Amino acid sequence: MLFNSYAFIFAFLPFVLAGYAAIGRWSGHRSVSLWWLVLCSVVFYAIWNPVNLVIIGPSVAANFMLARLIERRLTVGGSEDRWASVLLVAGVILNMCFLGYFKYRNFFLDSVNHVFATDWPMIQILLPLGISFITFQKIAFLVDVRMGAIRNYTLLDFLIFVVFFPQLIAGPIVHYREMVPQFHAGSGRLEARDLCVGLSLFALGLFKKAVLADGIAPYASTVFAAAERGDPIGLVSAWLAAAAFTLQVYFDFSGYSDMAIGLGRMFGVRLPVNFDSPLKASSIVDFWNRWHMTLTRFLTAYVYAPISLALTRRRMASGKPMISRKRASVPAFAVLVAVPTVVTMFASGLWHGAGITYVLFGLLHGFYLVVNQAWRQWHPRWPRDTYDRAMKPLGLVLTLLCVFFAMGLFKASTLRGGLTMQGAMLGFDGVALPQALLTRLGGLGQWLQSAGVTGDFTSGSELLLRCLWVAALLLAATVLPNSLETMARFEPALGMKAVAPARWQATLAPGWAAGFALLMLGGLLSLNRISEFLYWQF
Amino acid sequence: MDERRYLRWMLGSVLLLLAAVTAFNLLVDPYLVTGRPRVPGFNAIKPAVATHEHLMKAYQAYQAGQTNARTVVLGSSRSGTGIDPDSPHWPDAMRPVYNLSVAGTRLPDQLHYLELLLAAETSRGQTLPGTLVVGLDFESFLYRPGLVDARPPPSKQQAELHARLDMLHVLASPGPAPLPVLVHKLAELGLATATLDALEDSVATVLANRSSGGPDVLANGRASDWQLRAWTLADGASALFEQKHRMTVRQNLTPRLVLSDQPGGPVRRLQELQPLFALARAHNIRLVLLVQASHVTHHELLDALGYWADLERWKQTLTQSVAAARATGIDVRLWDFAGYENVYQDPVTGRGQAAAKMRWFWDPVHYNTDLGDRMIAGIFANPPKVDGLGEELTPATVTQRLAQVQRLRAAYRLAHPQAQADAQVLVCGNGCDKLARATLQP
Repeated sequence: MLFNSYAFIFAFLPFVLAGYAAIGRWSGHRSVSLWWLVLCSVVFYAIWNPVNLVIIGPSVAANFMLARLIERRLTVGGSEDRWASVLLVAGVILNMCFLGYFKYRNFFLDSVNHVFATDWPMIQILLPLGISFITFQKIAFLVDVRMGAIRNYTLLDFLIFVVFFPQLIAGPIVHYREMVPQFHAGSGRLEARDLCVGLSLFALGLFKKAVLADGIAPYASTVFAAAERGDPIGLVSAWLAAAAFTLQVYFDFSGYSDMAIGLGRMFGVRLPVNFDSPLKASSIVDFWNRWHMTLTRFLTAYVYAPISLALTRRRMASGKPMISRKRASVPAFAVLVAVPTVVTMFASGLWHGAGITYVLFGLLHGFYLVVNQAWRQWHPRWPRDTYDRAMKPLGLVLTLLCVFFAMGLFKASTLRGGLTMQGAMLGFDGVALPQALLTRLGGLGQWLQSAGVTGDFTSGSELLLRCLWVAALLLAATVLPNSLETMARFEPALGMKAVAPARWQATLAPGWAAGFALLMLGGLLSLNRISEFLYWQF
Repeated sequence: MDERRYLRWMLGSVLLLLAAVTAFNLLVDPYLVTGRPRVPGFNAIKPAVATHEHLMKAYQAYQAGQTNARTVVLGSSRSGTGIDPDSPHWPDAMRPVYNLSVAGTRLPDQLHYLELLLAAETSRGQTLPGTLVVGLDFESFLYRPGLVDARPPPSKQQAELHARLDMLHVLASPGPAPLPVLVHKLAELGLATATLDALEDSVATVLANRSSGGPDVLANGRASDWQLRAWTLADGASALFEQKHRMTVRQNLTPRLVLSDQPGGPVRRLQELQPLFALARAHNIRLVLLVQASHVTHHELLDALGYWADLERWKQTLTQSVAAARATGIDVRLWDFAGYENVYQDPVTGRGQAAAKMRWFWDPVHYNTDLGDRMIAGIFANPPKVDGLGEELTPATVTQRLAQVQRLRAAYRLAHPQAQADAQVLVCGNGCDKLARATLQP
């Protein structure tokens, strides 16, 4: 069940809210309210396909038992701590095998077949929804238990942490420590203020997903489909399609995150921020600090940091120079920054999907990040103000172009399609504009043609519409405050503090209520549209 | 403002705005779903036909029982724009005429629409049409080789269309409709009134009616030629011709489409005529089948693509099928307008030329109502007289008609020595290699 579906909005959500409110009013036991949420979350997950539950269920149970065993070893203490570590490693391997089998088995065998000309058979495997989100959270849970950060948890605590439906299939990726205390601290009743904030955020997210993301989607998919067929794509079409797809993913994913945060808030739970206007980033490092922030946080903590730490220790042990405040040596930079960065982004690429295009997408971003970090190390030392004035706008444009270019791979379903798209973005297919447009441009059109622009028989009005959509959404993404900034006064997400009132910040005024109602209406009226679910393989 | 009041404001506003949008869409009726009257200057022109023709024609057919049509035209967009139900050349006994052609459809879907129309007329106690004029497109009888069933499984859109036509058919039939049908109808009504797409189309409808017009499906079922006229005036017919030619090449070059599973075997999709014959026999309807008119450049392109022999074989087997049906007592006649007569050599005008509009054609396959009128006048004259346009195909005339077309083609090529080369360039650019040529052989 998608958040942006009639069934969810008009049946599931009201039913869950009503049940929660009724239990809160008449039961008085917090645990009953939480069991209600667990039950509803399981139903929410199983409605997609009950088989998902059969696959995920045993894995959840195994992780709970492992966590219990780890905790017991830690309670005993002494040499038993070592066994706790062994159990943790076993748990991580178990989870990675689980994820690997369902998500990466065919990709792995296909790659082996290609490289070694073997013929290992592919099999149809059901990919349980949200498998990466769920697996990552379970691993983080086991690590936290081993570190002693989580104690005295119950089965209910574990279940509500893993299956809470607002963040179950598309994140944000949460930590036990930031979630479960909130469940315990809640009153168990629906609070009017939480409903106001949650509903408003949900309206914003629904509008972003159903109106903006689904609205711009066709302008990207037609061109990417042509690239998959091997059709030549002109430079202009390729960049516009890549920009359109980037905006689609941004509004789609951030909209879905807004809906998740809004839903969590309806039950009095604050979820972490997942997007912070990433298209306003002035560098790639800045971009990844703003894009899918909970994934970046997870990868930094569980992939980047351990690798970096291990490499640092090794260099220290061998007496080699480290990166200090002065400029780093190239070998130190290569080992301590470039290697962990590229490995982390490789993992990030694989996380997004089991395919060579995702791997290349991750590696390309790894390359971007290394170049960005190298620039930070060795860029000319200008006065700060001068540097910011000159580099910020340039950085903004460069970052956007780099992100668009990488999206050429992300969207493609085959390597050939992705490379065709990126080749077109580099101008390998030439520059083409609709013949009708060139004709209408008169003298300018003739000049363009003499400069090498060719006319094709694509639709001029569609190109115009595509330009308008891209321009409007790009403007919205780079100029307007984001959803959480708009709601900042109400501390909408975890880690956000209430700020002083400012322009563009929502209040509980009739005008804002009507404005959010308009957004909600736009979203509701768009539920009939074809909606891509981009995260099914995350 | 306290939180409860804010929530009331928000939810109240959603409901109020939703009601306003629904009421506006109901009033404008951009998709003809509610059957609201067309008010000039407000909602008479229905530009949503450019994107929702299948939906709109289904509902129009459902409501067209009110027109009490004596003659119905079936076919694709070619007859949809070219055959005018209001033409003065229809004999009085055949009026009123309703054009049920739907763009992008083939005969099975067209019959589905027709069955709905007949059900609607029957339920209203009207006399069923006495004549069916059916435009036949040669290209719609081709299919991808290797398909076990020459009719591929329906796409999602086709499945939706079939479900809609079936639903309306049940509603048009006597007796109470089952609950799932009513739910389906309600859902369609919801989509036509309570969606952003409907709101956008309603606004576009009102704007088109307040300004210079737009695409439309007329009350008599004909698709207006507003869009074709606008394109022609803006870009010249030559641009439309080139665009359409490129599309033809893309659709027919690879894979090479076929008429039969085996070379020279029976033309599979001619089977699709049998339900038409059965329907004509059941309701005692006269059938007039037309091989649709095309511009000569389209024929040259078909030849360059290697389909000319297929076209001739199709005409021959079609003639035999019609003769066989005629032998069983069905009143059916077949007319061929796919030739090289002068009208089909209509000079293609470019942008900026004084007479930007062509005399008979919009693009290589879409003829205008002037040509459609001539065809109607010729077919329904007493006796029929289609000189300079084509000929009736019967077992006795088909061979000489094919020979006549070949003679006319030879004469055309003599007068236009570049025509064949132009078509070749369209098919394989300036670098046709041997391999490419080999794949073009029939």
